[in-house]
Amino acid sequence: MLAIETKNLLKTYGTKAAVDGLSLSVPQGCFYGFLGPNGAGKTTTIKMLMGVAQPTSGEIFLLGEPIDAANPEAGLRARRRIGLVPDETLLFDNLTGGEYLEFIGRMYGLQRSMAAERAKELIEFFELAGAGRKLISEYSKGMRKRVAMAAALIHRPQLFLMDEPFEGVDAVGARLMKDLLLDLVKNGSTIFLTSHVLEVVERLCDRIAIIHEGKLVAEGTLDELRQGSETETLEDLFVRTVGEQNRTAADLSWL
Amino acid sequence: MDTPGAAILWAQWRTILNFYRKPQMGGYWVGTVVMAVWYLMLAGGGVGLAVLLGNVKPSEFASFEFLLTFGLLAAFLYWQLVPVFLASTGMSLDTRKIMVYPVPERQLFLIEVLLRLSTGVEVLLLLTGAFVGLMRNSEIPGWAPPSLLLFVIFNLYLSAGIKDMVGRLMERKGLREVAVLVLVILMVSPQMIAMMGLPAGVKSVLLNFNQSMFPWGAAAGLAMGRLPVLNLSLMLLYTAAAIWFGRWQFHRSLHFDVDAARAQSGHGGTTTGAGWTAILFRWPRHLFADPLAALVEKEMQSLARSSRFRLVFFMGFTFGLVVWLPLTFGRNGLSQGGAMESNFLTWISVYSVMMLGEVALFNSFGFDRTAAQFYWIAPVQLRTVLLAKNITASVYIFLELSIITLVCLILRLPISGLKIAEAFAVTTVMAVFFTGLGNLGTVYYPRAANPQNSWRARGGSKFQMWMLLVYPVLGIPIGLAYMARYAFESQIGFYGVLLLTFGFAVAFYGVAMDTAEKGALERKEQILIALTEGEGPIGS
Repeated sequence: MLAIETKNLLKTYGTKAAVDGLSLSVPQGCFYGFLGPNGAGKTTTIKMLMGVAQPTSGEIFLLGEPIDAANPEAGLRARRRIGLVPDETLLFDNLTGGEYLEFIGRMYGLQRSMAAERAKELIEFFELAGAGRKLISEYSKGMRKRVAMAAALIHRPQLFLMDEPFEGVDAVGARLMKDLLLDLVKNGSTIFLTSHVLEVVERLCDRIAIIHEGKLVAEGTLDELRQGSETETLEDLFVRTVGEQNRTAADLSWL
Repeated sequence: MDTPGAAILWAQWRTILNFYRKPQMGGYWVGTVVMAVWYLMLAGGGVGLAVLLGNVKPSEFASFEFLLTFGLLAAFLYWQLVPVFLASTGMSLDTRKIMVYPVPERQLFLIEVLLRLSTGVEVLLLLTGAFVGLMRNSEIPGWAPPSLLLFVIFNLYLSAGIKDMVGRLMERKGLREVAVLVLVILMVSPQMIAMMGLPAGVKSVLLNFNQSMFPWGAAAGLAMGRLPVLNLSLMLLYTAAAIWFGRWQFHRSLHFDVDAARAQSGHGGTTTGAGWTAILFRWPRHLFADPLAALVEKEMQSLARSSRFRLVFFMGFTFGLVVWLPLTFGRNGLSQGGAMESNFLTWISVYSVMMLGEVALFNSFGFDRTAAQFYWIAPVQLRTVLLAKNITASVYIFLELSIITLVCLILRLPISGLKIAEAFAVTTVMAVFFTGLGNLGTVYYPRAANPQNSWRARGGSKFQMWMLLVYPVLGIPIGLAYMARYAFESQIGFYGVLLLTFGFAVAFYGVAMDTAEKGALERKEQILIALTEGEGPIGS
């Protein structure tokens, strides 16, 4: 069974196709990197996977369950097994980190006492204990990402959907998160992440997909994508795939 | 087992507690006290109703049922239409944040329906009074008064459905204005029928129409213990229809893609800045020097592109005009020469300034949200920023007034040049007061707002609180001008006092600007935190 499967996924805004015929197959236990330049359709794709946006057409299956407004029960079953590191605007700013984690745990059906206990452990694990009774609105960008990551873990999901999980996280925090994610994959979890930090994707991901102008333009393991050129970095490969732009400061003569 | 619904309510409770624990939010307690006074007054009204209905004799039942029917009709209109009138949803689930979690739709719907209580608290207090009164009345069977609960349930579900339906309509640019017009017509139809007069035959049919067939009539009859089978069947039917309508609309809203709707209705096209409308926004560069000119141009464009602003601007000369029209001109729209009529244009102008003020004056950093920190970073004085926002708001206020006047003239309403001058003069004085107060509100009461949300979720009750506190106080100096006209029977007296008031308003504006500028520097961090904040799972 695939962890994520999309078939001819289409999402249009007016006449513009943000995602255009995207078909993905993400195997279980895979660390999957989903890359693309700004405006390529990554966030729209992840929103559709999370159920926040409805596809114009096409099909989505998460952990074998169809994600479809006509079949809400299947969607609920899938969502119970998914951990989300969403766009940080989805956090609840007027809760403390601990309260937020407890709330998310309860949303996933954990008993209140268990949710509170796990929230406490996660706060310590992600080194947020120092933030004490601080509200999330007072957190730095990196702390917000840490608390979002902690929330994704609280119900022990099988599949993780992560939108830019390392954005704004310091080196210590990023290391902590990377090691944790690798352990999760080792234990059979599947991780689907978007990131602009190509070095991280290169180091962590088993498979990589590149989306450009809504269309899938490359997909495979790093070796497959390199097409035999072993010295090529992911950054070179990415620029080659989505179109190199040879612009320099000299183009702005006044600068 | 802990349900997600319980978790949402718990999180909202923590959110409210945390909000009030913030040291810089002490000022909000003032608002809470004012609201408490407002609700205590309504509770007093409820007690009055309880006493009154508790002592009704069987011989008076028929006339009291008639009164109760119209009371329930008023309650129905208040519950369903006042939120629309103020372009506010009241408390509502932030489904964007919640729907990513595995919460069954029926649980979310139930919470949403319960939250509809927030738009009808006033009605509930009065209904509770009526319920207690009817229960105390020994002549009314004990089973009858609890049936008022059905009326509440009917209203809750209907209100949820209307909120969702209107909310979606307001996200579609092309449909938004049409929707407002339809709502305007729906809102004023009863007034029109009551006030404008009708041919005798039609009037007779309407007056003799059996109100007991409507939810308010059936609920009143049932609560008084009359025709239990028929009235109960009717109420169950209406309630079932409201539940079906509410669920259907909630389901559609839950799966509604705001971004796609906006894109379909051409929202994307407004951001190019290259169209002919962009030229209209270039006038400030011919009047002011930069950075003021640049700031005014930016404000003019930002507000014009904001769904919320466009909605309230449109409402100013539609709702404002049509709501006051039948009240003022009465039968067949003919002049009757009353006090309402002589101040007709002023009333609408003040309503429109109130609506615009909420968006453009009282929280002018709100729509800038995270970008507001630019004002503290850029080499520009905060006084200049506030001034630019005030100039922009004033331009839109006077544009609105001009449109209202034009519409009145097109409709051939009996409005003289003198009345137009009076409306502009009074509104100018009020606008100066409002901008001064608005600058203080912007600095000392900042909150994040989404300019693309046509329908306000948060701040509904706070806006009402503002109205309660500020407008009567502001009305005093202007009221003095009217008193002068009345006492001296002289326009010179009126304009003399108004001029003095204007001088006072300008002085107040100057002091408020100094205070706001100082406050903006001192409270930089609090303002920026407040502007970037989200909410709990429930927007209030």
